[in-house]
Order: sequence, then C-alpha cells, then structure tokens
Amino acid sequence: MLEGKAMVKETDMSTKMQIHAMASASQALDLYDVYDCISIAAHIKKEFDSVYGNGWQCVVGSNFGCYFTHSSGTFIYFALATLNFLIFKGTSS
Amino acid sequence: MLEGKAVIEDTDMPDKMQIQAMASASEALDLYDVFDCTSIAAHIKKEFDTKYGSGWQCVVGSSFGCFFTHSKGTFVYFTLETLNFLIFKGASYLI
Repeated sequence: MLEGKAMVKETDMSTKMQIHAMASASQALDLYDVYDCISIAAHIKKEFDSVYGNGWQCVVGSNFGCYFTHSSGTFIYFALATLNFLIFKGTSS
Repeated sequence: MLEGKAVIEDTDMPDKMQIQAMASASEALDLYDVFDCTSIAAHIKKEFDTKYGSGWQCVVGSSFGCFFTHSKGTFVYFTLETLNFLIFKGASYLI
C-alpha cells in the first residue's frame, strides 16, 4: 500500500522527528487495517517511547478533538490517507 | 439540554472523580455545540487541571483510537450522547 504524502497541519517538532512520525504512521498503515486505530496508535507510540524516551501519547482517528498540555518540541498533528494523527509527549507536572 | 446518563466503558478512577468527569462533560455539552470537540475537551481538561493538578489530557470525538501511558488511578473512558470521552493524566515515566 502506497500512502499519499502526509500533510502536516501543525507541529513544533524538529524536522527529523516529524519525518520519523510520518514514517511510523505509514509503517503502521502497512501493518494494520485503516479501521484499527488503536493498533496504529500503539505502533507509533511504542516506537516513540523506544527512540525518544517514555511518555508519548498518540491519537488516531477521523473525528476527534482534544485539549492537552505537551512538552516543548514534542507535538505534531498531521493527516495521512483518511486518518488524522496526533502525537505528543505529555507533561505530568 | 438534559443529557442521557453517561455510560462508562473503562476506568481506574475513584468513583468521586468519575462523577466529576461526567459532570464536566455534561456541563461542556451545555456550553458548546456537539461538533466543537476541541472546546468540549478544553473545558474538561481545564477543570481537571484546576481540581486535580496539571497534566491532564482529554480526547473527545465520535471516531478515534489512541494508545497512551497514564498515571495510576487517573483514567476514564465513557460515552455521553453521540460522543466518546477519554480523560487521563499523562505519565512521562513508568512507575
């Protein structure tokens, strides 16, 4: 499956991390069905936890809104295929 | 607007906090349109930050899935009207 190019809607991540986020999403879409949002989100979150340390959160879906506090430089929101992806590292303090 | 009773799908919160979560959601639905998911989520998250300390996250929508790590005892997922609500306090370390 070849996804179209991901469209970044909003971010404060470094470019390298952005590319990694979109690559993880694309990889997850190859592994899982487009309706299995939780497995897709799990795949991305686990990869980010491994590479960039614990505390990442990932929301995937076609209809959602959320409000959150994130650590600096760790937020990206983008669209890929029919889904929207939100990845951020939550702050617990 | 009188909402129907919220249905809890999954939680590890104490009962009192659950009730607060559903009350906040109900209040938010009175204040905002059902399509304005972000404002609804903002209302709930801000209330929880005020009452229970900062670091809360809130996701509202009719079609989403997510995967996250949360602090112990701070997670609730429920349905109210046509929307699903997820509220949790993010953890930046595993304990």
